[in-house]
Amino acid sequence: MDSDKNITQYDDSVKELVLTRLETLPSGVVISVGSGQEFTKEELIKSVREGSDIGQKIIEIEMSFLQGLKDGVLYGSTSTPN
Amino acid sequence: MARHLLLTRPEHDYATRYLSAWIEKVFDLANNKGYSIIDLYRERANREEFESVINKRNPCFLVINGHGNDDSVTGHENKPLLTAKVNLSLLQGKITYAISCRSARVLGEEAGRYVNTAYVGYQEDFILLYREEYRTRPIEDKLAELFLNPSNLVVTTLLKGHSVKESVVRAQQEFLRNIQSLLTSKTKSDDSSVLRYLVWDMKNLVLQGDANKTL
Repeated sequence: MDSDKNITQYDDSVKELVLTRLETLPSGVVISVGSGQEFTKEELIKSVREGSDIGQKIIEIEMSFLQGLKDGVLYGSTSTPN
Repeated sequence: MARHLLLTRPEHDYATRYLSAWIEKVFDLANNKGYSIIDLYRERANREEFESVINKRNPCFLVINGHGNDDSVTGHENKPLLTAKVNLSLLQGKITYAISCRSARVLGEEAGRYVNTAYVGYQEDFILLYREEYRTRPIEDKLAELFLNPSNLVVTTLLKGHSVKESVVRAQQEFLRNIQSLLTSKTKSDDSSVLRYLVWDMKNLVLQGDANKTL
């Protein structure tokens, strides 16, 4: 995966929140992110702990999800196509 | 005159194998609707063949499965297939759906500037979750289905004659249906942990260009 140019650095409390979420992923699940990169749950947890590019991406996804909850995304408030 | 649907289906890693297997589900509908399918499968998903069939047979609809980044999408073995400022003009006058990471950002945005052209894709990484045990039989993977059924709806909605905008809306609605079904009380809590990835794909599915274009 190409690294993002403007990665936000997240503080430890956010990291902990994401790690807690990742622990709930079922075992045996693989996540494909970016160009051919595939990760198990354990690899993702390690990536978030280490703050690697993929770890940052997983945190970004979690933060986007939390923002989406605030915006009512689970109740159909999706962005309209361009 | 026969209308042509061009698909690229590289299969060099598990993610591309999943995309390739799942997009086969649209073949019957395409045939029933009178489309001739040009299937660039595995090694045939390369730039030379891609450019050649577009120039010779002028497909009206391109479905690109593969990896990508802001300004390109790739074919088999991650070799570039379509790149902004290189061969993007191939998309002129067509509808393209790219099931790949981030290509809607720059590549799709530039393609959408052509007259009578539409590009549907993801403006961020396309996330796919699947179960290890189904790697050799992806079509049976119910977890992957949550991601790939909505994606296929872009294609089937267009094949049924609806507009590009409608195809994106229906796909987003299908993502939402899957998300809401995971929220029901019967769902195991570990299954609901995949919600955030479905929301991510739903939010990042966008269209560029002519929203009212149809096949």
